[in-house]
Amino acid sequence: MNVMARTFRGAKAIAEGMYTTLKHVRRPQVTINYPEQRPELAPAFRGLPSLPPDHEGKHTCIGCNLCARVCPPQCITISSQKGEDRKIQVTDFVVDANLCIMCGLCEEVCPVNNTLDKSDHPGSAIQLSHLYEMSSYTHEGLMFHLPQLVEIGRQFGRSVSPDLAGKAGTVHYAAASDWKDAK
Amino acid sequence: MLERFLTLPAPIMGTIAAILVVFAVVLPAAMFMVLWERIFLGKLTQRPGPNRVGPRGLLQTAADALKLLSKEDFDPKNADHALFYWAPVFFMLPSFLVYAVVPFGKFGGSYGPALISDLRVGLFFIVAVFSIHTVAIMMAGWGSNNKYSLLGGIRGVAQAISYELPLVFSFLGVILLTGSLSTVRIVEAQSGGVWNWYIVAQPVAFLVYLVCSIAEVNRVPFDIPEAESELVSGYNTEYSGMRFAMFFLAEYASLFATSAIAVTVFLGGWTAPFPEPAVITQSPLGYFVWSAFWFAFKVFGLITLAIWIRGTLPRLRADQLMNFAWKFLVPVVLANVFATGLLGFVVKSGNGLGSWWPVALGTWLALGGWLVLGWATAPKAERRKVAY
Repeated sequence: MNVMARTFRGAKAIAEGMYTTLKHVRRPQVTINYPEQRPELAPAFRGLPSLPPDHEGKHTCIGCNLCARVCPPQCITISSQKGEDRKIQVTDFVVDANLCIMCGLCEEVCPVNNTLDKSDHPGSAIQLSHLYEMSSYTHEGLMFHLPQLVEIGRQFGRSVSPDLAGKAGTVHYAAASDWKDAK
Repeated sequence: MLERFLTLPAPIMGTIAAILVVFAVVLPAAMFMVLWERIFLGKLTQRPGPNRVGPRGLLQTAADALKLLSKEDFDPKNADHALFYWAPVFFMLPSFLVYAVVPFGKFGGSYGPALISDLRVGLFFIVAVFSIHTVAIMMAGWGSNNKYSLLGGIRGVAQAISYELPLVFSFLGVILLTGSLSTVRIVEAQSGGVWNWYIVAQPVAFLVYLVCSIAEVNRVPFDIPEAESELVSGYNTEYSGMRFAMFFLAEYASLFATSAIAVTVFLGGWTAPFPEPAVITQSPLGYFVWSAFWFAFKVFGLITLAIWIRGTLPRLRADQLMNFAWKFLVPVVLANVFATGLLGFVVKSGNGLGSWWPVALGTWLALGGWLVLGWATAPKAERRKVAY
């Protein structure tokens, strides 16, 4: 190519590029001012696994241990004992968020298909919630036990309430402290 | 002290006042520009930019400066300490010295233009002073005793030398038309409206100056002396704290300076883009405010253009950079000087304003013809076949 053609090509390319960047000035920002603004989560957003409660406010886990077995990083530990009616009672359910990769295999493998609180849709006993804020200064702070998991499921569970689905991230920030205190 | 100041001759007092005004304006302006650059770059990339410190992020640069001030003044053990210490000073020096001859406004009536010193060799002074940057970059690069700094310094010097040549030559056409090196004379020759500005008569020189000035201040796309992704950050790798802040601030001060020079030489300096009514030109202070506003407005526009370019263009490769300067810019700008001389003096049409219309006509025709010929001869870009 001769020098004139190259000049024309270059000038055209630069003009096009400058126009393209200028167009972006008028476009909406993609950045979210995080603590004040919250992302709109997709309905199938995969946050921390939780145990959403049923209509009676209890978790529906039957203690079958399938989720613990399928979990790739082995972050689920279930303690259970046989009750007087010879049914398995789950005494503790630990999700180690240090390890959890939020893959959702636990939810897929769960054999429970219960109708949950405030929802007509049946769901697994363990479900990935919409909780994504769980920072802690200690590793122990990221070990989530049974009452906390039920509370997280109640607040951030995605099939718990259809009108909460996809919007769990917009739940008021102050509410997030509740699950930390749950014993 | 005050008495001795007040008994000084009027010109010296005026000069001291002007120096104080320049420092009081340029330093905050450089800080404001850093903020504006970050905000505008954010807009170009659909981000909000700094918005945390102070109302709408206005105090961000102040907070950054405070943080840099409080950092340790660190220098590497094996550095050449004298060079290492003095490099930021020499880097900052020319950015401020240049303002000595840049008129940033004019008092109305019989008062003169507002500047520190109307040197008769103003443009020559600008060019000479601005080359000090090169020395400072080499000092920093060599003095740091770090291979990345040295590479950055060498690249900076090579680039500065290459781009200084077309930069100086781009002034020549304007100097020929004005018949003076004085910045005040150059601005006065452009008064009366946008059609008198030298960008009309010297579009090629203006474009060349724009490219070279961005290269001179080492900004994207000519930032290979700093090139974060290749050289850590080039000649200022080893600098931290206040010394780094000086480099950083001087970069913006020199961008401010090159923009001010471009406004002075090509965009009519302090003059408005239309004939100014006598009511304004006769009022001493009123005209100063008016003219300073237009000067600041044009400088701000050019700086925004530089930021816009930074948000768009990728960095050039070192060999492309050299090729572009020596094989394209230098011949083009030499041709421009030749054409200006030929059309302005051989095909001359009287004296005074508007006498350079053959130059404007010839240059624009040449520029347009060049691009049209390029459009005609460019091979059609092949549509890339995409396999889905």
